[in-house]
Amino acid sequence: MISGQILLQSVISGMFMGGIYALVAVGLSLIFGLMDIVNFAHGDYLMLAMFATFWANRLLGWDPLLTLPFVLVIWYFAGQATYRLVIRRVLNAPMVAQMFCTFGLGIFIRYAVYFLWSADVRKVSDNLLSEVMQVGTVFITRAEAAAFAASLAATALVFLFIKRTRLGKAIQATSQNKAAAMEMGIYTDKVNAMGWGIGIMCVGLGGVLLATYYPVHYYAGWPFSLVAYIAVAMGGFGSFWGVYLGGIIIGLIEGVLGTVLMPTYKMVFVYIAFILVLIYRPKGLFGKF
Amino acid sequence: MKESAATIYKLLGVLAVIGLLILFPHIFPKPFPQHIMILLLMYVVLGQAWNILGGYSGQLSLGNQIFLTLGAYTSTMFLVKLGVSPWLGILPGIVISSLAALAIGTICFNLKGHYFAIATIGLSEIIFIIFLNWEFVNSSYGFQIRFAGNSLLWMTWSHKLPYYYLILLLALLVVAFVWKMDRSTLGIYLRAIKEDEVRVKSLGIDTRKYKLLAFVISAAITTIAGTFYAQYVMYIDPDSLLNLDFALLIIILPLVGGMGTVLGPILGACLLVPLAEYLRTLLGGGGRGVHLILYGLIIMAIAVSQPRGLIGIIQEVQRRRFRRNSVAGAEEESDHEVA
Amino acid sequence: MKLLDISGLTKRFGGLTAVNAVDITIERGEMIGLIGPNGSGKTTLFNCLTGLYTADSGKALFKGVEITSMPSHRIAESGIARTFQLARVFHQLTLFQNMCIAQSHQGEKVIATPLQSSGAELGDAAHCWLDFVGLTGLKHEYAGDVSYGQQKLLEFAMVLMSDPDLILLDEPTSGVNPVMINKIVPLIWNLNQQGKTLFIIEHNMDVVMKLCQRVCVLDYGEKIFEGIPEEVQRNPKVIEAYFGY
Repeated sequence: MISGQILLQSVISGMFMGGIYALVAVGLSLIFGLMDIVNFAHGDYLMLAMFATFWANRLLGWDPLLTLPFVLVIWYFAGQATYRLVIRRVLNAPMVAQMFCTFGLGIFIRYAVYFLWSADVRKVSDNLLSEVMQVGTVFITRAEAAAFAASLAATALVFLFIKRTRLGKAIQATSQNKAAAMEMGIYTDKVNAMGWGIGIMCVGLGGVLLATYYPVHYYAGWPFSLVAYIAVAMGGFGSFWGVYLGGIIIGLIEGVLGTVLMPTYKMVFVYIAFILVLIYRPKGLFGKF
Repeated sequence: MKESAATIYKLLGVLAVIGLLILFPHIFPKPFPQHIMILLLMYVVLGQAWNILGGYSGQLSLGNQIFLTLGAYTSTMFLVKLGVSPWLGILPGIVISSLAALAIGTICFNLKGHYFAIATIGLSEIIFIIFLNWEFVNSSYGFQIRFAGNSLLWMTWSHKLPYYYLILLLALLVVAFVWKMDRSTLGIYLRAIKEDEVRVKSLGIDTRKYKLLAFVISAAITTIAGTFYAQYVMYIDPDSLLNLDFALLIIILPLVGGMGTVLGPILGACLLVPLAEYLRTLLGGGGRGVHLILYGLIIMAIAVSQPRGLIGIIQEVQRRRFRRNSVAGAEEESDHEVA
Repeated sequence: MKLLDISGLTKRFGGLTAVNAVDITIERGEMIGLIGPNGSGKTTLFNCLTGLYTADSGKALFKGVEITSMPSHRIAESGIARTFQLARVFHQLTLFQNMCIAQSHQGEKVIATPLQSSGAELGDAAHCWLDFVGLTGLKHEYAGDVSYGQQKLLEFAMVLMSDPDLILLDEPTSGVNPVMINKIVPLIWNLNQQGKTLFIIEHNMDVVMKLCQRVCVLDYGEKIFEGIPEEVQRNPKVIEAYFGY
């Protein structure tokens, strides 16, 4: 039998990883909710943020925490730019075209990175967050804890922004009914751009935090992309916190089932859970529609 | 009268192309160009197979490499463990792949567009992880195929020529099949399903069955290509077969060339494969992956401007020329009237 | 036996009840109208009858067999055909190919389809119906290239291809110019004369008056009245539903 301590450790670790997944998923679901586009390049923006953190650390000696605010700002504008330069052109195209578009974008980013920086795996050297703490019987790195806290805080902020501020409500209105929103004078274009900005910014945050304890390479973003889609599907459409929970649940499944059953197969459990949810609860576990 | 002349020209054109293809290895006897053409033809086969489900019915799968893997592994394991010729090994491969396709299709076809694609990626990852850890298939070590002399029976040769003709034959058969299917009842049903599946169902057609049929055919063809791939490369392992890049390469030809058309994957191959090679020679060793950067850009460009791919572009050009001609013709006529 | 027997059919979307406990019966050979203001649930009712939606409660019996939870293609096979408010034909296919899809698929072998030349066994029926709607000359044109009125006629011919027992027409005259309406109405009349049973959603009261023997009126998902066209026009409940007073 698995000792209670190992179980607890896997629950905590899983939950923290889930926090990162959730952060990425929230960004993805914002974009999806606004314009019904699945961003196949989402994880690659995560990867870029990881590389940014690595290079800032390597070349400038910056601690990831220092890089963080820069990444947040740059990634916000990168999201907006991506929307204006690329995504806007396929807004009204058939879904196939939208799929290719973000898929192609992801490939472009990944291989540009591969070309520039090769396939070598990098790690960000010891930094403020890599110290391991012991809470009771559980070991966690400060990085993991910080990542979890940050993801919770960021999601809460985004949630408040969406629900409470005027701009946020404009985003809500647009995702629910674009035509009506337009008639009410909301500039859906600006709203869409903002949605992309915030979505990519979340992913950037996730990347910086992740880089403090996770290996960095050109394919690093892809598993997070995949998990993000799964989290969005599991969490349900139209439910922000559902998506967040979806991410946490996936982290838990991966961590707990992985430790308890078979570590090498941990992602398999996630994928199986995904397919089960899609079949039996296509609206997601917490979805409204 | 004009129509039959056009058909004769088309037929001559096709025969000329086939003739060139047959003569190709004699025009370019070096192994490198032959290798390129072998890859090109293999991607045409894979692309056409994908096209049957994805292009025609609109159900976009990013998991066809699963069938490639099943084909490669099945025939190889029959060879290595039971001493059975890979030609025979193709048959159990097709059976396994067809069952897999039926299972995947039945479970996943209800999923909307992007979710079907993501589910197929998920399945591919599941199988990757399983193969990586399963002793029965030699886990991450994979299998090496021993060279059995220049043998048709064992499908191994020391030079590329026989491989070339083999894949050429397969490619021609597949293209001919897709051409026939395009005009067949199934082709029409699939295109209608792609356009408006609900409407098709309301006309009494059980769309599930036809999509499954398309999927099984697609899987079977991909499986055969898998056996060829194994025999050509002589080494298979989960890493080389089940990675996402392979998935990408399978779909990129029909995507860029034109989904749901017979010529699409062929045009796509003719553009993309030489382009990749040219870039590779241009940039030498440092150019690894550059062609993929370009692929990414091309995919985006196509998505943004002409999702129907090269075929779509050609059709647009034809339509504009037709309109210009007919306007000119009408003007001519009215000139005469006035005169 | 009643051809179509709907009892207590209810369909909800979240908090909205689109169809509320509707009872309607139709005998063979009848031509019944279904009217009501926009959003009263008429198309939703059709969608429930043809398997596009699954009703939340209630039953629909067609030729004595319950069709309420049958999949669309099975319902179509059993003899119900329908048109849509916005003509749904296949733009990427020719008129002839559209007809090919519309024909009856009883006993069709799925495996044989990849090698069957499309249109091989079409022949007479397709030509007959294309003639009926006057579209024979265009049969090799793409449906996306012909006018909307012609697409409506094509859709018409398509529903007739499978020789259905019950034909559901969803606003057959909407979006169509008066000249075309004068073509379509006699076509519908003819069909009924030939013994087909029709259930027609319409907004054009002239058409309803000319064609229908009985009319059902829906408002907010409920059936508020049923009777002959003249009665319906005078009924105060109906007037209130349409005009609000």
